[in-house]
Order: sequence, then structure tokens, then C-alpha cells
Amino acid sequence: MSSPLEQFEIKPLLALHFKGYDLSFSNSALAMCITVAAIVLIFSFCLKKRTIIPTLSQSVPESLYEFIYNLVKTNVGKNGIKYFSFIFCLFLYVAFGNLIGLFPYSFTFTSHVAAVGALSVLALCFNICVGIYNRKWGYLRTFLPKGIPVVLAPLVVPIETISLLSKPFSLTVRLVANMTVGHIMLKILGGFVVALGVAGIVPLFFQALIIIFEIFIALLQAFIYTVLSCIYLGDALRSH
Amino acid sequence: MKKNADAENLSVKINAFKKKHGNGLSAQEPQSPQSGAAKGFQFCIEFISGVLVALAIGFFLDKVFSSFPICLAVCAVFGSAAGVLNVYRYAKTSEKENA
Repeated sequence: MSSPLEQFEIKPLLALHFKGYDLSFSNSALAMCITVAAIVLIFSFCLKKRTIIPTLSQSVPESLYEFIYNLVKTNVGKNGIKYFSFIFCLFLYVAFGNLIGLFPYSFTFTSHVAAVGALSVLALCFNICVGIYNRKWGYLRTFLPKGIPVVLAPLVVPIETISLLSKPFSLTVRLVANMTVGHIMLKILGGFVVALGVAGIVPLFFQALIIIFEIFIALLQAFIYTVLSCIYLGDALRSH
Repeated sequence: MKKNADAENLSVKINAFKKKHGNGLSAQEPQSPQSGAAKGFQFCIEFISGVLVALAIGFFLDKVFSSFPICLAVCAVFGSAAGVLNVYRYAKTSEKENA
């Protein structure tokens, strides 16, 4: 592996073509499957013995649950609690995807616009459906907020529409850029460690520090992604 | 009784400490440059995403109606406005979070 960008290459593991469409099972798909399996296994293991006074392993998923629950309650409101499971899944998926990508020889699917973009578009569609389901025709108020004269509608409606459609884009770019930059940095420093021989201990030390920083960034980006999704869901449930 | 007296003593000490050192971080404490850079990056993304999405819509409409570059130009203007709106909303949200 010579180029720092080679680690982001999608390689088909199981070739599958259907009516001209490439549906191959790639390393990115495998990383997603591993992420979901890891979440299920870790949570099943931690919650195997459910007691009223939680053990250390039980307290980890419980505190995560409480943390996201409070986040939804604060940013979406009490009406949003019923959508908590969606937000919780979103957080776990992004956080575990980021963290699993830090393991050597694994693949970071959160550094791909296609994977994160699809997730963001899914979140946007979910928000629109929730908005229409809860507010019926009132959801159209999103495009013309209260207090704005109807004369300005030809100007405000396109602006609000573009603003709504750009939300998944900004969510995607933020996460993808952070993940890509971090992994490129790690790869370049790793190259120095090998190239410098014994003196490579200096970049190795820096790399250890950067890995710790990357773990922090992985969790922080998952948190930001979740917070913004909550805010967008809150916007869908109530007008601006 | 002794426990109550100890608790009172402790609360008096805590109050004195708060008066002397403040209740938490002072408002004037400078933020780390990295957090500023990260915020700047996010503001840029908010603005650029509005413009890029609008340009994509404009390009698509131009292709459909064969009207290049009218829709692209109109959407660029609307996209810039949407970008500014995104930045304003993001600033409002982060201000609320900081408060």
C-alpha cells in the first residue's frame, strides 16, 4: 500500500451483477455488516445479566441510552421521544463505524460520501415523513415560516427548499471530511515510522497520540451527527 | 447532629470558594484555536452545501428544459441565500448550545 488514499478503495469481494447494475458485496458492505454485528454482540453481552443495580458492563449501554435519550428530549422535545430508537440506532451505527475503521486492515465506510450520503438522505426522508405525519398540511409551513408576507413566497419558498435539501449534504461532508483527513494523517505518519527505521520511534509516538485523538474525533463526529439529526427532526416536528 | 454541622460547614466553604473563583469557566476565557477552526469549517460547509445543492438543482433543471444557463444562474442566487440562511441557523443553534 503506497498511496494514503488506497485505504479508501472499494474492492468487490463477491461479484454480483443484476440487469447492468453492480450489486457486488464490497469491503465497504462487509465493514457495515461487521459494525452492525459488533453493536448487537456487544449490547447482548453487556445486557446478558439484567439487574436493578447495574453491573459495570450493564452500566455502559445504560448510560449511552440515557445520554441519547436526554439528547432527544432536549433537542426534539417530548414529542420526539417516540423516534428515540431511530436516533439511537443512527448514533450507534456512526460511532461504531468510525471506531471500527480505526482498527488496522479494517475499512472506514464513514469516509465514503455514498455510504454516509445515503444515511443522511434516509434521515431527511424520515424527517419529512414524520413532519407530514404529525403536522399534515401544516408541514408546508416549513417552506413559508409564520410572519412572512405571502408576496415574498416566490423568494422564500425556493430558499427554504434549498436549505432543507442541503441538510443531508452538510451532514455528509462534515463526517466524511473528518474521517478521511484523520485516516490520511495516520497513514502518512505510519509511512514515516517504517521509512525512518530506528528513528521512527518519534513519529510512532506522535501516531499513538493521534490515534487517541482520532478515537475522540470518531465519537465527537458521531455525537455531532446525532445532535444535528435531532435538530432537523425537531424542525420537522415544529415550525421555525 | 455532628453530621449536620459538618454539612453546613462544607456548604459554607463551597459558597466561599464559588465567590472567590466563580461558578465555572469565566465567559472571557479564550477558546482554543482548534475549536474556532472547527467551527469555521462547519460554517463553511453550511454555506457551501446550500450553494452546491442549488447549483446541482439548476444544472438538472437546465438539462430538462434545455435552458442553459438561466436555471443555473437563478439557482445560484437562491443557493447563496439558502447558504446564508443555513449559516445563520447554525450560528443560532451553536449559540444556544454555548449558553
